[in-house]
Amino acid sequence: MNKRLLLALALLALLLPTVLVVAQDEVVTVTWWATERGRDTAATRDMHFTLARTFEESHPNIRVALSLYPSRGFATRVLTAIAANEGPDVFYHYFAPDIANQGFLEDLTPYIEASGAANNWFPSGVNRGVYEGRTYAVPRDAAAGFVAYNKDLFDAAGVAYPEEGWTIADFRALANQLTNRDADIYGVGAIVGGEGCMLWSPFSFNLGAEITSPDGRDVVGYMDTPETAAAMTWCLELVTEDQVTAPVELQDQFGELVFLSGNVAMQSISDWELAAITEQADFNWAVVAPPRFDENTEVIPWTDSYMYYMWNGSKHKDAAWQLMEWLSGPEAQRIAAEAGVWTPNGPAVYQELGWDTDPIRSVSYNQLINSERVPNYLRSQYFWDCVAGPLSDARVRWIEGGERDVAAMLAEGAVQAQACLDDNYGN
Amino acid sequence: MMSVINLPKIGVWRDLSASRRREALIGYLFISPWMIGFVIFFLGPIIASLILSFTRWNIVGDPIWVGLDNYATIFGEDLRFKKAVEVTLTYSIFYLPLEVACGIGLAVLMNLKLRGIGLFRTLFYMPSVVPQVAAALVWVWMLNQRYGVVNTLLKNVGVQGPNWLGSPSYVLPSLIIIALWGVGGSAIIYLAGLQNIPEVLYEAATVDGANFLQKFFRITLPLLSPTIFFQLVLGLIGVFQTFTPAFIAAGETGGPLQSGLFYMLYIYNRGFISLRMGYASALAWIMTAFILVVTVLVLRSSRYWVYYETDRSRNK
Amino acid sequence: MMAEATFRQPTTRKALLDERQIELVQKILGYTMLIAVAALLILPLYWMISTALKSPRQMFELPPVWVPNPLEFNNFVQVFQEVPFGRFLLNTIIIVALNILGELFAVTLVAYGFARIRFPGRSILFLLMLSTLMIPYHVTLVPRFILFAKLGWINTYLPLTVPAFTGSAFLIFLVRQYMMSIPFDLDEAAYIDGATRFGVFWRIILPLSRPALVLVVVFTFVGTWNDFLQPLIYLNDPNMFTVSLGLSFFQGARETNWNLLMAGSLLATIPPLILFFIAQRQLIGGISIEGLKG
Repeated sequence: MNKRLLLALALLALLLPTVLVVAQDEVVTVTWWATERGRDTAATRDMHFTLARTFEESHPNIRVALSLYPSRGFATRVLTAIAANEGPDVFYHYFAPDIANQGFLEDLTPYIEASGAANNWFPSGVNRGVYEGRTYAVPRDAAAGFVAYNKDLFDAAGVAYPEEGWTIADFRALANQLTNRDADIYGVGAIVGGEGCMLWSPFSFNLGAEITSPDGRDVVGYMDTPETAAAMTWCLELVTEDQVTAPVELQDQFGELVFLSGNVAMQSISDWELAAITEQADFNWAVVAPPRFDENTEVIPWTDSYMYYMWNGSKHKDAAWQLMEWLSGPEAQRIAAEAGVWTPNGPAVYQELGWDTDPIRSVSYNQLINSERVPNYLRSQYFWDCVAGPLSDARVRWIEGGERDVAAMLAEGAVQAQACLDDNYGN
Repeated sequence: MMSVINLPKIGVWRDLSASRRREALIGYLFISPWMIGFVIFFLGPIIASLILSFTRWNIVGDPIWVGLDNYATIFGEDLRFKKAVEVTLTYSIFYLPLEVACGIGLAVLMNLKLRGIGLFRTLFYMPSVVPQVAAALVWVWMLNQRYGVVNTLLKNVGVQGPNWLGSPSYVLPSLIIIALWGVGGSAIIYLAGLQNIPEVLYEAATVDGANFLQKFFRITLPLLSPTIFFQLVLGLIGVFQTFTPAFIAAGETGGPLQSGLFYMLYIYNRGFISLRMGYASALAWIMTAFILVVTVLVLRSSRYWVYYETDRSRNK
Repeated sequence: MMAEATFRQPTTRKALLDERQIELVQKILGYTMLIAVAALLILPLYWMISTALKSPRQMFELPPVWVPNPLEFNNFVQVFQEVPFGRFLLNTIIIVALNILGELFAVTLVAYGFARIRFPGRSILFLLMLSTLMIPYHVTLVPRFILFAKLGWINTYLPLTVPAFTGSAFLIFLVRQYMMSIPFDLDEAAYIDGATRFGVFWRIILPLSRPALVLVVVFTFVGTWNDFLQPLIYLNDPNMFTVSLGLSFFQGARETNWNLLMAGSLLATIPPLILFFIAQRQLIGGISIEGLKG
């Protein structure tokens, strides 16, 4: 065989696959990047693959290349891939809506308007994706905050279970009533003691506190108000004055979800913790709507969603949208909900599953249909860079340093956080 | 520092004979891997870093020229920068002398002429081989307020142990303890220094009736001063690069009240979490300038306290 | 230091004790201190091993259990089930091997060039190389990251291995110092026999530099094995994690499972420890070369 022939054959061998692919009915591959948290169960991990395979079955021309990444550093991962022009077509994460101003997200408004999909979602899921009137993300799920309580501990103490319509004063009274430090029994779990009380739970809203402005650009005038200081004082007093929160050593053993220890009567949780509690709790438990401020007010719900985004440099935008539409649509929502992995992002699937009347699921359902407010930490992409630190400083200074002037600490923190926000927004 | 370099002087290119030119070309060929690496991975990035420090950039899209804004913010209202500098300097002030003292102490022990000393040398050096992440992890567990072995031992002698990594005033002491565990690494270097000290000096001192302490302060320390000096310079650069123990033990954002916010951790935060590449570059440049200035100052001051023995051959 | 003195002429107070008694006291004192310090330094390693063998219940027992009973060897199995620890080990070994290969390739060539070939600018280039040691490596972290991001090298092993093929300045310095100490007559004789530069490098200098090359291997191994910051910023896919990165990932995921974390830490510690025992002699000798830089 001479060299020229060899070369020709080699070239042919190289070109053949391309020719074959073109000859076939065009199959496109959509990359989907998802994040996983360390605490996610194996079922959560498997769900991603189930969803991808199910989607491929009904969409034979689209293949889904799925990658799971740890949530730590995921934003950096996405941005570096985009910088190398190798961004994922579809990815879900936890961005604040104003991440859209970085200019790498596809504006999904036309797609959503064409499909009418947004009508099926809870209002907070819709709001989570909107920046300056355009929609950049669609909800993966929906989660609401509520209180889980240990029935056995209530029974043992001869105390009546909390009921919807209770107030934060009731909550505090119950926490004190149920705490029995000699028996290693505590009224509330850790999340109420820390910034969790101010960020992760409905408590801050119901205590009248805000940390940032609705557009996320201002903290001065929000974080330093008397209401916010009073709310934070309330949260911290549970730890140091009432001493009804689970101690650190219990968290050393059980992590943040100390409720699982069986030594904690109540813990503020969300739908994202339900899977773990259902799987691991070896006591009788139930959930109840969060407490309202007082008899004259309504409960203000706390809700949140993970969101699907599309990279605006995607080469298969239509296919990518089909995947996103399907993932946020009823079929995928039902699959994930039935597996107990995620909570549906809209009322229709809830009703279909009968969850709107389920004693546990209805608690979050009732929150989700009524929720408009975006949590404080989701109002600015720079929240964690600028605001979370000064907020947590106030807690550390109270608990470790014994300082008690919350208003002054928050005022100081607000100035610091505002300077950082202004710098990040380029003011 | 540079006393080792003693290269023959060579003329410029045009003065070279053909064979010399050929030799020179071969020489460049041999060192070319380093030259390529120097340009691509060092010089280029350093220049890029300087230019970037005048921009605002999140990697996606184009950098925006902001002039001296980053520097103005850093020296102006950036409280975390001040905290990072404070943390790093406080740590240096306590850690570096302790490192020297413990390193020499350990080296003196390692230099004892006793049977089985080799085993002890191995044991002393071993902790410095433990990967930093594993070392930090075991200490986080040992320093646990309630279940940690450190507080248990303290309790046995009647001391109520603190909440080491949870309380702002104990984060730095914890990190110093963690770092000192690996002091065997520098003790080995001091040991080499000790072994270079001629035995006759001690013998003469003994004859003159000098006691152990006198010998240590009059002979050992002065003769060890070049090593100490070298270790201090390296140590300072090392402290500014401290990242892993702080990341693992104090946490990504620096722990309670940012009490473990080492300078490098802050650069990582601004660069790789907040994706402020320009800002992080400015921070890195400030660190570099600082280290260079301090190194020069230490070098300048060395003539007053470092004892150089000029007549003794330094090459083994 | 305490034992170095041999008291040939017992003078002053010391004459009260005879020489052998002094020696005995010194010995006892010496061993006591050695053992005390050794115990202190070994405690964390012991605690790592002990925790790694504890059941969850024993981990949180008060006062702490020193010797776990029963020994939970199953923890080590569990580590491999909970996270792809085998992958972490394999990944790290691949990266370490490539780094060793790269450093050996570049360091020997460059060190030889600086040590034994004459060319204009040699001293300036050598000084330049030494000065890079004084500049904290982290200044280049951000632009290097951007460079690799633009090249699409993020989440690959390229940023963690390719730079090794250009040689580390410190190792080049180390090996160059060693090569300088090899007599030049050897090269001259070889040239007379018609050897090429490369021939001399390959057949004479390289074999004679073996002790220094062992150091290159050890330092590169330990440095790469321990590296945390670079894998942290360059790797995202858990299946590509190194041991150090995997451990910290594990820490975030299983913050309360200290027995498993310690089992993982122990597994991460064993390979460098083995290497240390193998290369102990060269390592300690070589570090004294490093000490010479002062």
